[in-house]
Formats: sequence, structure tokens, C-alpha cells
Amino acid sequence: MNKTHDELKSLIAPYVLGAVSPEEMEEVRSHIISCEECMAEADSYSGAVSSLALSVDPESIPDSLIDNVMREARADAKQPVASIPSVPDDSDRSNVTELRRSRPIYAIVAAAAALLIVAVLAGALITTTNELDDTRDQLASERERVEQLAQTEGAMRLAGPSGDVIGAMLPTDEGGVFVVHGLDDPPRDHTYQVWLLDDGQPTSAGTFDPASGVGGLQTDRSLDGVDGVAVTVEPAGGSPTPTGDPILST
Amino acid sequence: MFGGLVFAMAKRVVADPTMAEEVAQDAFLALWRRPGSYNSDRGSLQSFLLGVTRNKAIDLVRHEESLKKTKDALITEAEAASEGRPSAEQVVGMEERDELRAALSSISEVQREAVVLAYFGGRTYREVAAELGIPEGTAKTRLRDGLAKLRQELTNRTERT
Repeated sequence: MNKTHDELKSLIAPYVLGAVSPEEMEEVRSHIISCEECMAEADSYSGAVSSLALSVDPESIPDSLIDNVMREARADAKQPVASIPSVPDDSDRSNVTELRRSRPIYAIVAAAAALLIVAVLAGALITTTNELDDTRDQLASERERVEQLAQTEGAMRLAGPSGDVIGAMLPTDEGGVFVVHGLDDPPRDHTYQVWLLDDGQPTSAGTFDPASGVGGLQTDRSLDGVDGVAVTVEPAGGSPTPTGDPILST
Repeated sequence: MFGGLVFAMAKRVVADPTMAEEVAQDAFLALWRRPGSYNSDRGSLQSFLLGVTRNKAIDLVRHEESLKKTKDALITEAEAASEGRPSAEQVVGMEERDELRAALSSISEVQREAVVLAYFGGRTYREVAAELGIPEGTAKTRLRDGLAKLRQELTNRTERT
């Protein structure tokens, strides 16, 4: 059934609000591609629709949400490339099966993206969001990504003695976000712990376990007055004060 | 900050907080797996992520009718959002949010009701019409006029500042 221009035009507002049936969605979509007037009307509502989205009050983010996102991110990073039989050419397919099959592409960038997601979760990437439309190739250089994060305004860069390991602590509205690249797994029954230094006095920012060399955490401790950051290896669960020498510091 | 907004958006649409958390998680992972899906020419990362979250939440409630919020719950939350005062910790973007709220509260009650049912409630305009007991044409008109009024308010406010 073909709708007239007027009928389709009356569906533009419901369409931009996502309030049409799937069939109408397709009809309107193909119509506005060829109709300047309707395209202009649809575009004119984009600010209003964004304002609806942005009117939502932020809530405190549950720890379980951060943990789950990080776990999924790490699981992707761990996905062995060899076990996946084929790489589809069409990376635009979005259903779950295709995503899983196309993991090799993502496996390359997954570790880098794991760092990205921690920063995005915390909103720490506001200054660098335009980099997000970078190509996947650029994202693939995970070391470079950490360097970029470390160079953002207000960030602190951490490095290990050999220079193989680098990290960044980024300030956020509610504290900080820490990301690291190049770390080995901690010894058995041990974990990594991040310390914020204020006049040399360490305060714990939490513990983390890296996956494929990539790790990170979010802390609600403010970075105001913090003049250094260090990472130590501690018994599982963490320690009240550092028990060993930093393996990574500012 | 993004995490908190994305989670809040999912909760605005989905009646079950646990499911809302899953929606928020999916939205982040979608960006994470396909960073190229975000195009900075078309708006901020924040509104992109919120849009993705909203769409995922709507998909879910359309498949799981039981997760759909009632009209009354949606309207109450929308009113709270347009009147509520942001807490101290939401300093960043607070002024902008205040502006948005003021714009939202400027559209007429019947328009807001229709827009909220459609945008946060996942109703199609036909369902909006049925639920409000109005003809479909009226539902479409209220959605269009609501958006047009909102657009005009936002333009006026931008010009004033």
C-alpha cells in the first residue's frame, strides 16, 4: 500500500520519536531520502528529540553495571582469533551471531576499546570524544590510545621501570578513572592495587585484575590535591597500605 | 557521568531495574564493539549513547509487554524531571539541563503526555491514540505540535543566551 506524501509527512514526528510500526518506519525512511521537504522536517526535530533524551536525571551507576561491562569487554579481548572460522566482509551487520562471527576484527581492537569504555563510562573522554569516530585501525594501537588518554587535560601518566607498561589516571566529575596497558597477570592470589598520593601519603583507589594486559578501574575519590599515582602488587582483596614497591608510578 | 545518564535513561523506559541495567550494559557494549557507529557530526556522544539506550530499551519493552511502564508512571516521572532540582553532584551540564526542563515544561500538557508516552513509553502513535482515547490523527498532531513547540522554545532560549 503506497501512502501519499501528506500521509507520510504526518508520520515524520512519530517517526523521529520512534513511535511508528516497523513497516511505517521503512516507508518513512525511504520517503525522506527522496523528499527534501520531509527530510528537512525530520532534521528540524533532532534538537528537540535530543533534549528529551538529555532531560533524564543521571543516577548513580551501579557497580555491577561497570563490572559487567568490563567483564564483557575483557571476554572479547580474550577471544582467541584462531577459534573463529571466518571473517565476514560486511562489518555492518549488527545481529548477535554476526557480531560473534566477526570477533577477529574486534579482537584486534578489543583491548584498546576496553580502555576506552572505562573512560566513556565515566565521561572522562568528553575532551576527546571526536576521536571516537576514528577508524578501527587507529583504535587498534592500544598503547597509543593510553598515551592519548594520558595526554588529556588533567590526566596523570604512569610508567613502569622498563617503559613497557603505561597507564593513565583521568579526572572525572565524580573522581577518577584509571587505565593501564601492558601488565602481566598478577601472581597467584594477588591483585593490583592503585594508590593516590597526597604529599607522598597513599590512599587506596581500589584493586583491579588485568585481562590481556589491559586493566582499569573507576574511583569516586577526588583527584584534587593528588600529586601522584602508583600501582603495587598486593595480596588478593588489597591492603590498607602498600606492602611492596610500585611497579608503576607517575 | 555517562554511565549514570545511560542507566537513568534505561530506567525511565523499562519497569524492571535489573533489566534496565542490562539495557545500559548493551548500549555501552554496542559502542564499544562498533565505535565507528558514532559520528560526531551528528551530535554529542552523550546524546548518541542516550539515543542508543532508549532504542534498545524500547525494543525490549515492545517484546516484553510486562516490562512496559504504565501511563501514570511515565507521566509522573516526566513531571518530576521537568520540575526536579538537580542535586549538587550533577554540576556539569546542570544549566543546560535546567534549560531543557524549562523548555519541556513549556509544551502543553496534552502534547507532553503524548510525547512522553511515545518517547519514554515505547508506544506507537496508534497506541498513544488508543490509550488516550483520541483519534489517530489527533495523536500524530499532538506529537508534531509538541516537537515543534519544543524546537521553538529551544531556539528562543539559545538566542536569548
